[in-house]
Amino acid sequence: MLDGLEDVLSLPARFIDVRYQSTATTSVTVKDGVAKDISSGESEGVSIRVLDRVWGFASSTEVGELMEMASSALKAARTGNREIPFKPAEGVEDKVRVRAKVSPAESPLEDKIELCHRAYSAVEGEKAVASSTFQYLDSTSRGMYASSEGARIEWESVKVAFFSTVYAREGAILQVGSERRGGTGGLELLKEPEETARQAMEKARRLLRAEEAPSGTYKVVLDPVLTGVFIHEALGHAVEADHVLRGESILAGKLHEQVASELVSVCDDPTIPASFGFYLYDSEGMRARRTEVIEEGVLKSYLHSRETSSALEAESTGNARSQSYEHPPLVRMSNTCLEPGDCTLEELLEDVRQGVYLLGSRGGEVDPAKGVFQFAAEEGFLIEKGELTAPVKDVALSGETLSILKSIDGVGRELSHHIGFCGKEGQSVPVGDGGAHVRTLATVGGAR
Amino acid sequence: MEKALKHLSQLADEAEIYFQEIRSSTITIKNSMVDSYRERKARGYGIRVIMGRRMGFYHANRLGRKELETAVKIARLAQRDEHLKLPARRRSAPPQHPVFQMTLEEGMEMAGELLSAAQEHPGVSVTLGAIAWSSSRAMVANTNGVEGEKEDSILIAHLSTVAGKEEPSTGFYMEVSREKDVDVRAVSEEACRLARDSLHARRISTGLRKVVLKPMAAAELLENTLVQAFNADNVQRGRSRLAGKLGQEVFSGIDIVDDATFATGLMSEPFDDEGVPAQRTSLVEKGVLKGFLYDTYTAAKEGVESTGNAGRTGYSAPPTVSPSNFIISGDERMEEEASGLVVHGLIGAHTSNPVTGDFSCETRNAFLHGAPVKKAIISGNIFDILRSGAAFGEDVKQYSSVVAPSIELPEVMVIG
Repeated sequence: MLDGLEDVLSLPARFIDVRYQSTATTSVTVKDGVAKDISSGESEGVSIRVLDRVWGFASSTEVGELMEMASSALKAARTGNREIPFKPAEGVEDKVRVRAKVSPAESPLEDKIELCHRAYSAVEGEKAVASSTFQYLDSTSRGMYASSEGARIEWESVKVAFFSTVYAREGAILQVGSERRGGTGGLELLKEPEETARQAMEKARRLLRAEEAPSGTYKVVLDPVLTGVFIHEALGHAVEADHVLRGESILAGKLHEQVASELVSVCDDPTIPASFGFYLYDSEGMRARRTEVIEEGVLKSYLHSRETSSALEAESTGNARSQSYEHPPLVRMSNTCLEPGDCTLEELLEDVRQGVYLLGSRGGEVDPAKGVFQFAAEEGFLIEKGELTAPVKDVALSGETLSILKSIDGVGRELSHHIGFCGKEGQSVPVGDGGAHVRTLATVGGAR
Repeated sequence: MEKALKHLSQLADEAEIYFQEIRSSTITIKNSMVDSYRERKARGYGIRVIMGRRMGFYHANRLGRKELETAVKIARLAQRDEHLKLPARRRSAPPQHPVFQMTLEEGMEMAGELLSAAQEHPGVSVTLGAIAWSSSRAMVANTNGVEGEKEDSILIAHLSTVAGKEEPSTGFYMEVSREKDVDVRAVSEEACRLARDSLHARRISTGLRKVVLKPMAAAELLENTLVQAFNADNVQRGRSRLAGKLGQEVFSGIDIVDDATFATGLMSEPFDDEGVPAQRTSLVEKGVLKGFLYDTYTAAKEGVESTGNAGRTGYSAPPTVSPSNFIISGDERMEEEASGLVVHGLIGAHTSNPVTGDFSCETRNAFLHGAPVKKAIISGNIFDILRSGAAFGEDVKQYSSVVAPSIELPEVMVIG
């Protein structure tokens, strides 16, 4: 398939793998009703990773330069003085393919533009709407993974995403609401652009009436989106075994210990069909699988690459992922998911005398070594004597992961999945965050 | 490229080809040891065509007939916008700043120095760090006669550290330069000092406080709140708090310029990613709003000239309005001994609201009267805060596009 592949794989080193990838993308943006910005393109490239004393890695868009890349990676791999743990594994031969019902590659561009226009039509001329942006994205990739252990995996995958952003204005107040949809598959995953547009619009409108949020420690109820982000940011990053090995995780040394309330069970599962974090093999050719991370509050497993599992004498969980062939694999989450409980939202709210109900996510960040996280909700409501009262805006949540996980005293019964992009060490990968409503105690950071 | 433009000129009203070639190298340090070396080489083309005021964009690693014609096909399906155009040839651009070359051996030496400086700090260990350098060459040419080639190079050194066992504290520091002059030892010292000094942190009470943002924290906050308000695309679409306020006093005693022309600026360049010569654009003078940042399209919409602020994230993306070196300064000097909450970094600055300017971020390495603070969120609105004024230090640094010293904000909500 690639010129010189067998030659580079047989160079003298502890381990070598090669990844080839070719990706075609399309982006359609409709700004204030006008489909002015449409772009597409195609790119390909190859990378090689060599393990000797340290890792040497080289990537290029010039596929023909594989041998030169190999020698430069090999030279670098021999420079260090470290002994990186890496247990051998059996190379797998396979061919895998994600089948889209409505393939973006075969669908006319007109259909993609139409999706954006349909979304725009739902907010056009609506009260208070000041501006809107709708963006459609697709990416169709095919690639090959080969290793010096004999792995030869050919793969094809396709992802779509749709972003709705609506600005609402009233007097001098300007607010923004956004919604996103997407997954691994084709246009069949984006059936209702109008609905996401309306949801974004309604969110922006609600924020126009919202007051500044209070500050301090409160009982909080998180909606499934925010719960998903919380699990991802606060817990998920702390179970990435590279963090654990670097002494950067509050969960280091805590395997089989109670780290969260008994109501908390969390898994990482790349095999959920159509999910945004879906894959069948990770970027080291390991078969994807579901990993139970926390069961009833007990830490069961970290997430591993081949290197971290070798260092911690565990098995790889198939969580080595990379943004593209250009990036070396890192330990990453796929779709993280908090298992649903048995409470309705009403039940979660009814015992709260004074608290905040927080919805939607504007993203978050975590310092896994200290176990401190921050994330921003899109909107919120005060909870007073079990009832939702005034809407609040621009509210962030922060806290210490372990104390918040232990303070969870209620989990909702309805699970929903949301799409996101996770950044780590300069690489962004698509992930799914699944969650239900939860109730806990946290620091709420508002402006008053 | 010339041949391709010629071919396109027969198919479209205007056409542009952007070529970029990047070579970058990264030496990664993990667990106090060099862990990996990464080399990346990427080259590709971005093709932009305009026909009948419709625009199409296609990117590829090669420049064949099929690629050119796909861009044209996309333009046919796009919607008309009368302001779409490519820049005309203009006055000559400022000179190219020198670029550097670096070898693996030189990088390894720097990584070694970064590590050995850290080993002089007992009780502090290195979790992650890197020496990264890259050089890029870009060419842009269009059917209006614009033609140019530019190069740049950049060196980054950063280090993350951890100190203490029971209640660990972390430190992070980074420096970026256009030249091979980064003092890696100083980066290491600062990252280790921050982790060590942050040990035995205490909680503080909630309330309004004076807050001093060190340059890295200031850059993180401004990049995610203030900078986007000067983007003409946001202004024209009613997405900026500064829209309609030209000539008004928006901030107190503050100056802001976007300047792509000075030699040491990380974003300095002879011309922007559409080929428009780089310039210095005054945005705020003594608190009065003077201007916005434009690319060719947003400038045409208002009948003004582009400020040379078209930027691309790579060959695969069409240009959009982007700041170059966004320099903020002010009349008021910061007192030597800062009395407020001194914040070195932020967690979650990217979750701020760039439209309203509202932010609420957890702090990283924060100190009150020299004593480390366990956990503190700072929360507020950047436009309201800068309206009431700020004081500026002399320790100017650049991170991403923001060039700023330490900034003292008189009253910010701090949630302990």
